Amino acid sequence: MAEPRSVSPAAAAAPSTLARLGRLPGGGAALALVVLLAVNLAFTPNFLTTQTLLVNLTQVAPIVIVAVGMAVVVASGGIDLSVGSSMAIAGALAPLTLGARLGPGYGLWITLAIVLPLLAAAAAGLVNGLLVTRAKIQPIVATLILFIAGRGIAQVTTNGNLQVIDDPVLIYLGLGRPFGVPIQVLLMAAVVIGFAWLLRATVFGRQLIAVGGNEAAARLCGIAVGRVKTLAYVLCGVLSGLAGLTVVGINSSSDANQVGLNMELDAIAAVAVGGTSLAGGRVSIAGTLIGALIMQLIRTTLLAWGVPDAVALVVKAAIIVAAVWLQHRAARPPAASAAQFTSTARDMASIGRNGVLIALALLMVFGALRYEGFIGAYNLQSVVRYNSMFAFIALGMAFVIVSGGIDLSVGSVAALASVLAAHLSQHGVAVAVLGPMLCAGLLGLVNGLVVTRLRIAPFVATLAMLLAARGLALLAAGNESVSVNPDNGYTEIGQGDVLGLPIPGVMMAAAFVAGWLALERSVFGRHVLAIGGNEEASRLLGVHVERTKLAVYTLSGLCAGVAGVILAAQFGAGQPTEGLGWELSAIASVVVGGTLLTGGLGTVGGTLGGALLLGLIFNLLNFENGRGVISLSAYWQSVIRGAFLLVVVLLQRRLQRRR
Amino acid sequence: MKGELLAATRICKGFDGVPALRDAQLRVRAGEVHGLIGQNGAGKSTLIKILSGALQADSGEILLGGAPVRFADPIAAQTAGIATIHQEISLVALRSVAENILLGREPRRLGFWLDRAAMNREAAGLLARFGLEIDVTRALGAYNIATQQLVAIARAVGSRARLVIMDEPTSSLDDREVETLFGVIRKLEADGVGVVLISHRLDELYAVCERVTVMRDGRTVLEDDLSAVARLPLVATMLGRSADEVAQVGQTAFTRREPAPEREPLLQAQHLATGTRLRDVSIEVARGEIVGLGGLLGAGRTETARALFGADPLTGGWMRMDGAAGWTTPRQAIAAGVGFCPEDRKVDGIVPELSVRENLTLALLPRLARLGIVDAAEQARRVDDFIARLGIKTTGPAQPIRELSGGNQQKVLLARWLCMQPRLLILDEPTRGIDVGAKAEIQRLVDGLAREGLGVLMISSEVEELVEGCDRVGVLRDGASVAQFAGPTLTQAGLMGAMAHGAAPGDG
Repeated sequence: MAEPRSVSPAAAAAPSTLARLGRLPGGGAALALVVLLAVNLAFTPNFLTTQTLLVNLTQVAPIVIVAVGMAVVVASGGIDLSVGSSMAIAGALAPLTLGARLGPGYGLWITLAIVLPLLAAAAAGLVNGLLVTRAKIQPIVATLILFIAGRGIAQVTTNGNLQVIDDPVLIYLGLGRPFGVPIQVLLMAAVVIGFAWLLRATVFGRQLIAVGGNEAAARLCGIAVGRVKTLAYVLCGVLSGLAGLTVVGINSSSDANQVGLNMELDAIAAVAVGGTSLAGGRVSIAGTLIGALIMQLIRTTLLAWGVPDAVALVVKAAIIVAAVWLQHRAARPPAASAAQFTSTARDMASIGRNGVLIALALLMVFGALRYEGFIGAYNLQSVVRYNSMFAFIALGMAFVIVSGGIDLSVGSVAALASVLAAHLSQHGVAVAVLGPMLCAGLLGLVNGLVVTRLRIAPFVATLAMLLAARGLALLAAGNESVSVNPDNGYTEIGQGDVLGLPIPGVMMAAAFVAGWLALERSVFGRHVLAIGGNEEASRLLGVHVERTKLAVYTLSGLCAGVAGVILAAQFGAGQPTEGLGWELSAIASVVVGGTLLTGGLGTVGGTLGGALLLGLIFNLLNFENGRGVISLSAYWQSVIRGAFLLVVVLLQRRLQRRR
Repeated sequence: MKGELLAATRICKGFDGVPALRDAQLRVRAGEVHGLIGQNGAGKSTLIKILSGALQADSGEILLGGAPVRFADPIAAQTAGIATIHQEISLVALRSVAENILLGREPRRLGFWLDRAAMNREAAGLLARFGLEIDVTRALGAYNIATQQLVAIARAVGSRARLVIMDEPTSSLDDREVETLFGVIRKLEADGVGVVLISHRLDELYAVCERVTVMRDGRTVLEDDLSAVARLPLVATMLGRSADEVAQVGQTAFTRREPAPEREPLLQAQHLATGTRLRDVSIEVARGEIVGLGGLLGAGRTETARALFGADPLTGGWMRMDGAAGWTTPRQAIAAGVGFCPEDRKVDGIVPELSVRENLTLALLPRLARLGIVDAAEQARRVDDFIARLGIKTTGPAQPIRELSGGNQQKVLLARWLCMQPRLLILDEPTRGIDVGAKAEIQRLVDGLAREGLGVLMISSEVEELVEGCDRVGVLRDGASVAQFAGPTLTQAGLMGAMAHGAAPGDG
């Protein structure tokens, strides 16, 4: 709750005020913030200057604004991955609107330049909300669609170009200093106070928290649950749009590739650390502000002490896991929802698998008819060569999703593996291949342990690993790409051929055959499917649930490791910053391939089809542009991918409902 | 005792300090079908979960074939020869029939690979024993519930268990399928396997069971040969009345509420049917009248309440209030002046993290607001008013409701609807799981409200509460109204008879 709980005289007799504070939502975070401030005051030079303070606040402001929106969605029991994309859309639209200015009336156009982006971001939120409430798609998937497509839309509308902003009003949104205070700090304060009030004093706010806390009870109290949830997503969209405007103002330019990148992670982290329950029903706006400040302060503290940014990521990850774990221990165990999920099962998988094969075939035919050289060996080989690492990631992801989980850490783990491979390539090819795989497998095992032992949701556990592995990668690489040994043939793994076929393609084929055998023909695979279909039933029927899950996450780590090995070989260097958003592309491949995101049903073949399909879209765009008839930028691929995902997910939903 | 297969004695189990089993006992002989009955919350499921390894007992002793056992997980119980057919979370609908039957003990090749052909062969062979010839490679979810239930039973039988526990296996089967099942049960019996059968259909128990164990409030209260116990005393024991008591009480009917002369009709509902369980339920409630609704577990009481509140869509029948047409959503029901306190406070009632204040005014909020902004002063005034009026024990309106006792939580939920000034209040088990003092308070409160003109529909599994607290009582059985009692015919014995047999002595 946003409001500080008033301490009644009777309760004031409670033993320790400090302990009491610790129990308040966000109270623990507040204590942590105080400690951090004290440490900095004591040890960091020039910490207590207006300058440092304002710099810190300015940097944290957009995160806080988005995090408040995220907190609103989380309070309703949801999550919004698309906030960064909404920022990019808003950031792109503002200068575009001004650029389209027809005729006089500056006042009108500058108003439009601010209102239209906010409306667009609100529309994005509305789409999320309707997908969640009407189509009944789980929030993480529903918002994944716009996460992928939204940035694509922003890139397409700007053609991926950096737009310089010279309008004084827009710049003022980023750099203005009314009363000597940076404007985004004022905006941040207004948003925090406004939303704290909104949640506390309005019917909507109260109903929102009730919906997140107990949806069934809220419905029986006559609350329009769907409307309340949708509005939460819309508000989150608007706040993301506002944050997008301030960011482009600060930069005096709008770059659709960069605005709001990874914002969803920062926002979720701030929300979780601030004491808002990721399960919904308990929210603290003040805590969210504090959470964001803590994260920022840790970053600057470590920076001031000369600790690299990379370590900060690892610290961040640890803090998130610790915060959520503490919440878990404090909160009641969630009531086991034993909703028996029945459906016409098999047909669905075959539709998904056949669907992706048909789509693949259609694209091939289309490409063959329309473009010269498309169907040629060279082109097809390069499609396979450069998509094999994505396919590996998708293979591991398929096992995790089939088991009913999710693994967001694969991209970072692959990046880390590529850096390790580059370092180890000095000691021979075998070491450079096996070392990174071993390490990545271990990180996967850690994911599995956090999920099964600490009972932290896979989404949160692997999100923390995403940050931690990225930090480790940057550390190991010293913040720059690491060249591989060019002399001992390591790069052949990515670039070479065997029997006229690309080596990574052969590896991929072998891995998918093995994966197919494991899922379809082994007892282990049957158990993975059973757990995803109904974990509680599987446990009662005598399946070793924890052991199987550990194996699944380890497998996903291993696959990410192989992807990293190929990455390093293909680029001739370890890339600590590669793999951004790979996890989401992999999820999309898996889902497009006919695997049910809720688990229990999935195919290895379909996953391969999904991965190749998403790769082929990019390839076709290249050919289309080569013809020079209509020029479609590469950015369309994100939009098309998002659209694909949307169609597939809606289709899955319909089939499920038909039972 | 000779031939004793299972002897679970003095089993105790608590959850967060709340005891679910205080002194449970279950003894089953080899080659015996043993009935296990008890009301909701009697502890049957907890006991079954302990026997199947899903939960571990706090104390007590389990002997299986004379040797003490203690199961750390379901795998251990299954290895020891106990197969359980759980009532709800039973199987994996997305996987094939054969996989479900052999999950956890699949035929393997080289220890890792699945021998699919052997698996399908074995599964098909097992099902054939039930006269079920279906494609075992298709997903289980593609078959109807009855088939799924038979698959679950085949799984248990096929594991060559020494003891098979079936938790309400017949609830979704039709008569012919029940007969098939009973045939299999008798065969198991002949093979020397022990069978524990949980069912709320007394006919079935009397048809196949040799002995019966009755549980109440976490205790085993009766263990006897079924042939030695008649239906009425069995139901009486289950509901917490000794047979002697019933015989006495049955003679004298007393109604604490004096019959009011004439009352205006308020709610009329005829022939209600829903997709859930209701087939044909009719109810009328007048202003100032307390109408009770009784029936055994699974008779359709809660489903009736949900249907009347618009929470489950009707597939048949109609309802209206004050002559106005019905409603199809809780929102419309609330607007029409209906309030509903659900049976399971934790699942459908309270929002645990929210304060007493917010929980109390959850339905009222829109009426407390101007332009969407809650009038905090008015809210506080109303909340203080109800806390005082109902004597809700709390440190203050800001206390999270989860910290309150069950009785006080229930009072908050009552207040949630009272502050809406409803004309009809539906109470589903309003006094379940709360202490005696609070129970009496709530009963007094409901009585007082009715005197002020509120119509009340009260569902209760306590016969005493129905007889003493209600003007009229309707009895449901298998989703249909079977009897109605009022005035002199309203007796505990009459109610129990109707619940057990479905026939109403006297009134129809």
